[in-house]
Amino acid sequence: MGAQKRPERSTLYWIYASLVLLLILTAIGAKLPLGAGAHDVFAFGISIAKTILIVSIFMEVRYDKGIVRAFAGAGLVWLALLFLLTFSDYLTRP
Amino acid sequence: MPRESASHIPEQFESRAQQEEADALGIWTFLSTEILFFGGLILSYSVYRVSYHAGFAEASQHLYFWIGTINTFILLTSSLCMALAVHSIHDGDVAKLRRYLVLTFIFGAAFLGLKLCEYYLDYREHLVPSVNFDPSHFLHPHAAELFLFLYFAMTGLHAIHMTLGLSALTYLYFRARRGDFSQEYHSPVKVVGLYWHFVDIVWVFLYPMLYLINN
Repeated sequence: MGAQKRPERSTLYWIYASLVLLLILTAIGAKLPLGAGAHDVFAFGISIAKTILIVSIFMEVRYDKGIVRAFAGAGLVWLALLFLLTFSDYLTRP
Repeated sequence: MPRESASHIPEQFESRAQQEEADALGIWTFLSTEILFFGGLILSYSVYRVSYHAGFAEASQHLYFWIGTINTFILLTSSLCMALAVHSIHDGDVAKLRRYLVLTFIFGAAFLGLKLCEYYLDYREHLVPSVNFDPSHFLHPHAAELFLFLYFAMTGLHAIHMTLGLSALTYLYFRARRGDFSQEYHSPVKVVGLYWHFVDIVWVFLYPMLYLINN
């Protein structure tokens, strides 16, 4: 009976350091003279990067079985559909 | 009455591994519904932000950027502590589990405390819709009020989730002290950990949505 794979303790510290670095980048980026669109891409790009780090390592989805990953992804699929259908209406109105 | 512990597997499960997988599927199903719960609010915010960008950006400038940033840091740190708590009990170290649960609780409580201070400052600045909102502070008062309504709704819902998370951490701590968790059995720690990280992720998105809208 092999031990279940999981992140090393040092990996957890590295992920935390990366998350804090990303937070600092977000805070600095918010003060840079970029356009409104570029600001959003920058800020939400970093949020997505942080989420990937938290979900894959802190929440251990990277080490989970396929069925657990499928359940973890299901909510995102429905959320994506919600946004896709809503904005395909709102953004195409004359 | 047998309580769940290292030596007892509930009769509906064939093995500890099967029980853990069922627990993981259960909490992820719950978190999927939570994604849609917050998703509805985030969608409303997104639609209105597209429609009233200038008003949203103006109202966002009235929020306390540094409090939001420090709170994000605090929450990320609490997530590390929670991950370390799960890691510790994987190794069978109950003393470390208890220590990290306490640290997670402290950071979570610090987040809520700072959030309450921020709400008080918002109140003093007349930024609370339906309570003391002062439209004379804004060039786009209707859009600003809508933004602030969404700000209080989303951060308030998040704070309720944080409070439930703190209760769950307290529950885990006392169970850990009673000796319920071990290297073989620690599913509740993992389940609460997943919930805690999820609440952290929600804030990771609320932070740029509310504090970082730039003109």
